[in-house]
Amino acid sequence: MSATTETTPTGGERIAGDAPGKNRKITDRAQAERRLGIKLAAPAAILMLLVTAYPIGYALYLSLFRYDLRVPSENAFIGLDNYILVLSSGVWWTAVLATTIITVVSVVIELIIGLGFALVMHRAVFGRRTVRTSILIPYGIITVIAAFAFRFAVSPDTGFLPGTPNPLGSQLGSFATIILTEVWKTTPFMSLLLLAGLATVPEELQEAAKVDGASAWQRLWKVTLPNMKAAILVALLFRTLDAFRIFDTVFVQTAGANDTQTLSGLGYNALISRVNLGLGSAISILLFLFIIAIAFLFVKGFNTNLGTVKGEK
Amino acid sequence: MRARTALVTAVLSVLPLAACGGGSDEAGGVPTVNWYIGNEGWLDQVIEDCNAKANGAYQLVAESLPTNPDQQREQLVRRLAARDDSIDLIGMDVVWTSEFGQAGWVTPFEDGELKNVGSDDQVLQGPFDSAQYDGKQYGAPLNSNTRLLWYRKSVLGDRPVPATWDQLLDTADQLDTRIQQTGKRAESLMVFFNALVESAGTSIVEPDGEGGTEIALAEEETVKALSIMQRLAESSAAPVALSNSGEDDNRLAFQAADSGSAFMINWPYVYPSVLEADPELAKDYGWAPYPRVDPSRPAAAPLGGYNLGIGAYTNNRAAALAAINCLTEPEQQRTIATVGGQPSVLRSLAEDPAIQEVLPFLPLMTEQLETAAPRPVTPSYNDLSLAVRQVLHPMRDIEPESSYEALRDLLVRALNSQAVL
Repeated sequence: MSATTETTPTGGERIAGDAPGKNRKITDRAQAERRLGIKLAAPAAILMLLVTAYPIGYALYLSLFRYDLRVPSENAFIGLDNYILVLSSGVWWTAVLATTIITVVSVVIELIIGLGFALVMHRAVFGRRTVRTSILIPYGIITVIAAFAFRFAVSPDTGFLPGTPNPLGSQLGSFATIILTEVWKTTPFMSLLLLAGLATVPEELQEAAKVDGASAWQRLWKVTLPNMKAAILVALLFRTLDAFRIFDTVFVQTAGANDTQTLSGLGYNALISRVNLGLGSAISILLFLFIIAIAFLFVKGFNTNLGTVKGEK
Repeated sequence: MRARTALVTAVLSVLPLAACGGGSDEAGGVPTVNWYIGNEGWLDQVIEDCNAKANGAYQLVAESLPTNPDQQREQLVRRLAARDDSIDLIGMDVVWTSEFGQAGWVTPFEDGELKNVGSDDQVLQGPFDSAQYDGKQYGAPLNSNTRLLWYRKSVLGDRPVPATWDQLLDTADQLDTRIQQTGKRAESLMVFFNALVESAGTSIVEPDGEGGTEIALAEEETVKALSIMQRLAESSAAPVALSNSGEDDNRLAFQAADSGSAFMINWPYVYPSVLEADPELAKDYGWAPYPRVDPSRPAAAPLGGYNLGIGAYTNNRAAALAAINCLTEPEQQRTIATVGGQPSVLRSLAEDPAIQEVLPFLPLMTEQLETAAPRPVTPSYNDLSLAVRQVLHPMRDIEPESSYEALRDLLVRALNSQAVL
């Protein structure tokens, strides 16, 4: 963009016959700059390709093979068999269900509590810094440690519930504990993103609504939330993508017992524990497709919403 | 820009080196033997002794692995699959021997290389068999282990000690007491299942006649084994949180003053540990053979312990072999048994007074080690174990007939790397 606009030649003597030559000159210069631009951007692009595209491509390639490091003699090209195996297995669909339950429930709770926290952080009159810091503390704690903390907290011998059976022994209790840990750990992240959105809502709108006699509740629903729709969508997108790849909490708390195994856990079992690279790669690629689908849906929703916001203005 | 590239290259090339620092390089002409093994209480002493005896021939160094066997295996498998040449000597759980051997991660021993543990004249049968795969010896048995039935003498009184699982469950019901047994989703579930199946008279795998293995699991015997697991899980004698309890949970619950648990199935380390915590209480501990499934068949108790393997990518094979021959000498074996509470694999120490002083139940263990249940010898062992955990956890949901079908089906696929686990 800058290349074409800034290249008006100095002097400005425009002779009609000169026009094609001048155009060619601009193009030359533009081309040179474009070439420079490509050269400058290339290292970053190549690095990105190396660290993301190459592994993804390699995983895609591996997923088409029977490739088990423990039985190297039997490695062979098997086409889509790994995918058929995964998609026809009940374990996979149980994991899809478990991952979806954990994702949806935890993200919804995080959104509600996160919005509350964001409002508190936004409106805090005194001790603002203290309030913000204390709300953000859980996010600074490593997930594995948070998972262990909650595992010990619910354990009958070390925890807060002496004399009751360990919730991690039942399916409902397992899901509840995992979701509770997730919510505790990542709500601050959600509230941080929502706080950024809150800050963009013009104060004049709030005042105008107040003058018109809108209650606090009405202002929240009619003024604040509609104006921060984009921020909410971004926060939901980030959290959903993250939550869908959940691994640490489940690994630490149940190791997949009580049907809480998640898609990442299945991938881990296949790749790391069983060193079955073919099958594990197929699982990873399928997980990757799920993530892309979620991102695609959100970005679609995101765009249309941006459009309507603009249209209203 | 060129300078910066050079800097980045330099940093990148140094990082991996730093990570492998202290690898198998020779320090002053003395080859270092890196020994990857879980952190055991006896480790320091045997290493010190062997280094003193080596007299500069090698320097044995422990590289500690996590305490959890699943995590030990994962670390080793990752390194070995990446052909890490810093791994000279490996403390392999007995069940990994076939997997590591098949994958070519450990090298087999030639005849005569192992001075102390090269034949079943020297080594107890159970541990010796666990070190063989495909007609070759891939492991040097280092120590052994088996589970016993523990009971509180004061609670049992003069009733007979239960000999079968059914008697055990009946007695526990009558006494209104609990049986401490593991039930969490871990390797210990496979240990339990395999012992019951072997005791019932069948096996998880059998040779298929073409040099490979196939799933055996005779129906009647397996269903019997599964119904014992189910009965335990549904009984009021089950531990409070059976589906979450591991060996150490069991030990602590059994050891607690008002435990309400008169029985426990566990490794013998529980005895040295209670001796240390409360010598008076230790006098109340009784021990008996691992319960039978079929009253007319001796039980096949679980077999544990380490086999030593030599990493396939090592540059110090001779030194590693020398270290193995030192570690399996009677003196070091005695240290492992007395300090760690894990019996020796050597026949010559089966009645050793020094060991018997620490492990008064040594004769019973020796007897069990001769008939112990080997866990399935197949490179896919870990997949089988994951399959068993998947179908049989939690134990309260077992329905013997239908669980049998589901388990068999999954195991057949797991054996051929054809299952999502």
